[in-house]
Amino acid sequence: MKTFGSFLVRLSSFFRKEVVEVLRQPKLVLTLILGPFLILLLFGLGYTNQQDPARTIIVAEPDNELANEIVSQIDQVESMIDYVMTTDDKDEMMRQLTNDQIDLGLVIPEDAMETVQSDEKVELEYYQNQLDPNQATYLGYTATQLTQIINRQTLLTLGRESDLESVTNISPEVMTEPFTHRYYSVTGIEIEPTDFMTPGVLVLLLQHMMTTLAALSIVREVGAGTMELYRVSPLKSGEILFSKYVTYMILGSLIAAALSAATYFGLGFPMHGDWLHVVYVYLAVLFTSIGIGFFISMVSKTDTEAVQLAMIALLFSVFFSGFFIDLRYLNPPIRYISYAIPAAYGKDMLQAIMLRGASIDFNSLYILLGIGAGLFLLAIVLLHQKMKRE
Amino acid sequence: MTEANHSELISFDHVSKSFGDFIATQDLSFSLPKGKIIGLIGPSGSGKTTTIRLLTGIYHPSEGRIKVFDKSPSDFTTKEKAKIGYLTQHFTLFPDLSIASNMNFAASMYGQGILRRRKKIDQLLDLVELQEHRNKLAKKISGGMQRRLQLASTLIHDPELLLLDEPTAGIDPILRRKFWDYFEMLRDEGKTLFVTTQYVNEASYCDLVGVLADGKLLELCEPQELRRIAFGGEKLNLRTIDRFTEAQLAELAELDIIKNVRRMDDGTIRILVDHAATALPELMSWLQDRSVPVESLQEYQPPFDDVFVEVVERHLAKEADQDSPDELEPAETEPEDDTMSEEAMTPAEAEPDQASPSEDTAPAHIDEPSTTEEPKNRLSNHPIFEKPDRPASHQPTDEEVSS
Repeated sequence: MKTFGSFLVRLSSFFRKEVVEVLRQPKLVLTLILGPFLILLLFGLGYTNQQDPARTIIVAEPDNELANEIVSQIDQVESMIDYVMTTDDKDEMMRQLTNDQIDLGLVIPEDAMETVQSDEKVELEYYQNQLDPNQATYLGYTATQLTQIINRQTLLTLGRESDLESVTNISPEVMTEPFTHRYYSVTGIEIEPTDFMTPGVLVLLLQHMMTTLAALSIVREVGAGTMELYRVSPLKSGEILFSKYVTYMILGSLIAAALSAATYFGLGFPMHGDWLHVVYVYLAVLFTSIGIGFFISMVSKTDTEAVQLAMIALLFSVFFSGFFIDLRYLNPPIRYISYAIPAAYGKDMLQAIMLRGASIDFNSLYILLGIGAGLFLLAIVLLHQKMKRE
Repeated sequence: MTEANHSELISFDHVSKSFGDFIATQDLSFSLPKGKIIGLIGPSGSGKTTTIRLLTGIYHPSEGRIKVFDKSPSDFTTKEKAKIGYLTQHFTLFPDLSIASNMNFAASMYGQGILRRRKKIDQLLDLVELQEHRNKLAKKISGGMQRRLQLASTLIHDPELLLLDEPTAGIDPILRRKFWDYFEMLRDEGKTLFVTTQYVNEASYCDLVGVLADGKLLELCEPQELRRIAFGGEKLNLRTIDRFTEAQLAELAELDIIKNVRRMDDGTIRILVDHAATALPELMSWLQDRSVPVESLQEYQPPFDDVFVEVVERHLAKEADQDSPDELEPAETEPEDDTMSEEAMTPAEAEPDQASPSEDTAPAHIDEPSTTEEPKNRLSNHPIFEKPDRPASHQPTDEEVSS
């Protein structure tokens, strides 16, 4: 009985100590509970099970009867197709497709209706430019649906024709399915789902590693008292931060090189682009991620708090960078959060360079560097505040 | 004290520092010369670290002005900062770096190139006896070695002014002694050292000692002067071969140079005089005139623990006196109150020539042995008084005058 009593005393003392220790770190508790909760709440609010309709251009000769018919009936598929325009310039459609201004291009052959009336099937051509295998499948499904609607509409149109003789010349095979379709990817490459995910994984890994390392850097030194030495020494806050940036950039570059080598040589990742452009993206991602880390480091009071905030940053990036789910499944206000996430830019740029063989998207690069520069300046200001006299 | 002087390195002019409602230091005014070891002694929470941080510029005074190198520490440029070596109270180097790497880092903070620093690092590691351990990680070495490493890294840029915040805290007596040897060597090289310590007896190593309690500077003077201030004079121990009679004791007490005479339990006669150096020959002469066979007559230097306690107690008594003059008699008129010091000493420390408690400062009279008296320990109940750990290594050297 006495032993049990002693056990209870020991238990209660530990209980009290642990509870007090936890409650003494309100920011940690807040980030532990509120952080993931807010992310899930935002995601829940933003997520729709339906993505944006595919922006579509129809390529047909002027006054094409079928094109006009499709346009007039487009409201039947408005949840899937966002009609942009009809043009007879296929190159223009291709240009917009490769620039990601549209998602789908439909090419209707000349004299399509006449061909059908002469008892021949007509092949419609659909073009898409998606790297994401899921998105490509989804657009393929959209194309199939659209073709079926065109067939149904054609059947109705032919049924309304006054010249029944011309209709009776059409064989049942053609009559039931006057239009078939062919589905082309302008990417020109076969992409496996794992290949598609790889650039995103690389970016997220780099971001998280650098953010965590940088997040621990200052908070650890404040905790250990080293910051007191810095404050008395001739070091300036800008010098400290710049030195740390350079160090972590070099360290991060080595990690990035090792990861890339492992994926390319070890996993046989298909690299189609210029390695130099990949390096630019890595450097921009590292620069920005270190900035996030230093920002976390400045606002954290303990190592635990810093690590927890770094984890929140990772979780946030996974959910809102388009890595986990295509951003087109999110409502616009929530979707715009991704504009503030470095990993989103990094992932898109790396995918384009590595998988598509595209040149670097300088707009995204500048935005990424802009975010990084903003974080760098913010970190300098915060460190200066930390180091100035009390 | 605050007037500018060409050899003056540090000056405080009515400096106070508070954090919200808490007053860390209060109305500090003093100036300190170059090339000296200045010790600041006081219990935990007395404001020592705050004073050091005010000197470094980490803290800005809430009131008053500070000048170091003729400049406010808040306005220090790289040039002034490079002249300061700061040793923090706790180990603030990098545990995951080796000793040599820590030294390299410290040197690079002050912009010293690889070639320039190499020789200096070797010299300093030799000095602090860490050369053979240079490749060990800082986290793998003992606390004393960490402290030595920190001292070496503080010296790496050859600073003119060393601000050392409790450099000897938590290290063993032998190492503590070595540290003071380093400090004296650095002082002899022309450097100025401002050292805080809880080990009150370390005050004897300093050229100037400040006593800090409750954020107030109670005294700032040379160690010997501090003793004089604390006890109202200097003490001599007289031992005679034959018993010193009561009549002789009474006659001795009548001498002009004598302020107080007291027979201790072991038969030693403890004599309080203004100046030991001038009193010693006169006393010898007096004893020879009366054919008193003298075994020894020497200056007795009470441990600084006692000095510190006495200074603080006087301060408390003065404050209490100011607060309620009717309730408490001033300390100066309470010669018996010195038993407090005895109470503060442990038996192990009560060595024959240093075991006596502090004595009165009243006009010459004879005290009876008082070691069995019930102590009136005023300090033990006061919040500023936390008895610091005593260093066993150092006891002040007596100036012996043999008969």
